[in-house]
Amino acid sequence: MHRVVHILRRTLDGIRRRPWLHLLSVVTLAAAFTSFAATYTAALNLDNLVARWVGTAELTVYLRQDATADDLIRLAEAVSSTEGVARVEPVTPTLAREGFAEGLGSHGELARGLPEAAFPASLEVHLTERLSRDQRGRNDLAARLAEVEMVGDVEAYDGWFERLSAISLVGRLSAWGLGLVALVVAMLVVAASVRAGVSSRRREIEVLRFVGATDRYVRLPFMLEGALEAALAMGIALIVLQLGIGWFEGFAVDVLPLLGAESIARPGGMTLLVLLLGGAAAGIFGSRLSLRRLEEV
Amino acid sequence: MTSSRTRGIEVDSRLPIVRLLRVSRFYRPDRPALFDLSLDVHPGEVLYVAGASGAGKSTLLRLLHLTETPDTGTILFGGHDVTSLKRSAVAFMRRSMGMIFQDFRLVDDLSVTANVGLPLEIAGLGGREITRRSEAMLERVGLSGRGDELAGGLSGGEQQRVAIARALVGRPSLVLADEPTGNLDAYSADLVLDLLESVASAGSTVVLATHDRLLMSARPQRTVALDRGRLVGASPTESRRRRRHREATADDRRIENTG
Repeated sequence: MHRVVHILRRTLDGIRRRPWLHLLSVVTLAAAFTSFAATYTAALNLDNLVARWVGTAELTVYLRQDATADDLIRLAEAVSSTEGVARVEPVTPTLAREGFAEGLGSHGELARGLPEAAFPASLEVHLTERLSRDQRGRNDLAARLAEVEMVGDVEAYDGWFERLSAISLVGRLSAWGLGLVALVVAMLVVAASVRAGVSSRRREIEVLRFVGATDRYVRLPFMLEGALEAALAMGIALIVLQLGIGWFEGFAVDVLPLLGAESIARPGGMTLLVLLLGGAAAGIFGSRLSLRRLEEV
Repeated sequence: MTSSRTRGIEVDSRLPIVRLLRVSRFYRPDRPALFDLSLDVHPGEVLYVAGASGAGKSTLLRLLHLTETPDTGTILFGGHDVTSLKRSAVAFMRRSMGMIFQDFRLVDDLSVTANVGLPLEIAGLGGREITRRSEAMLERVGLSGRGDELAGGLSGGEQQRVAIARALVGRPSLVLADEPTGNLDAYSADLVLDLLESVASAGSTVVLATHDRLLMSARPQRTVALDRGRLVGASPTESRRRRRHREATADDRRIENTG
């Protein structure tokens, strides 16, 4: 137990003796980790948006401007009985205008001031799971619906969903790529910090060896220093992230409803814990990497 | 010592505490630092290792401290072969030893008490016990009340006394001193030697390397002389102290390090 106390004391003593070096390391690491955390959060939110949009109507059938309410009802009944269609939601011009106004949030009154004629009646067509996965089948259905006399246009959103999915994938890959870079940066920065620490404490290490300290006793304080540095940097990064999200939400309060979101998604508690421990682990690896190459340690 | 993780040097008054058998150490093939050296060191004695610069005195002490291994020959501690110990075992063996260097080897930016207490920290003692024993040792070396000062701010003689206190605070079985009075004035040198002799009287064994003939003549102890790595003389074969110790001690005595 006393040895544990001594090792912890040596660790803190090492940090106290070179505060500016450790501060520089922590700031550098925090910048790298913040970049990763921000990209990860952006990718997370992009994923959520794409999932939300993909989960909405998969076909929108716009009726002609001169279509009547009866036309809307008849078309809805006909489409409902079509193979591959799970359900149909008729949207009158009034409902369309109201839906648009809600999407504008605090600026909704602007939409409500527009004439109903600006909003064509439409059908939100939800497909069965089988047809949802069948791009050709969806396109065939869209083409057939487009030929119906009272239909003005059919939107299948295929191009949009594919682009969004691709962007989402790029976002995820970027986040993990940045994560890897941040990890490597952490290990290198900590390794350099430990090397500097060993260099400044050569005499002390020499004397410890002379009086019977084992390799573990000599090395552990340096490894703990590295772990503390990296964990602290990750903690700072996560705090900066939370503050940044809060600040960004203030700017984006009017835009989020248009995107179908109420707030910006934050990494969950377990994710935060994993990131914190991951930071500490990177610090330990960096220290170990440095200590293995230093014969005197 | 029954395992590589021994915590001490077992002392049996019937056996040499250290025995070197035909030990050689080469830094260059054509010039041995030590050559075919056989030597016994007895419990409780003060052994002077004499010789000019380059004679091999420091090399001998480094071998005894297990800092280096011999190229040939065997080193026995308490009858056990320590020639090829694992690194971790060497660490444990060193806890039974105290090492004093000519250049002190203190940690300048640590306090005097912290320097002295390092062996006790390694041995796993608590903070209060370390402080108590360190301060007691500082009092013994005449540095009472100086514990909070930084070691780097002391004079040469004071630093050497701190180094001695560090070497002795763990109650080592074996004390190795490499020119401990080399950088000291006569008064401080006397103080240091008095202290080492008192430590030997208490049961520790002291091996002291020196080239100071005046010192050796003023304090007659068993002496071995080295010249270009070879043993060229020894006198007397057994010190008076050693003979008294041997005759007075009838039973085995085990001195263990507190680690």
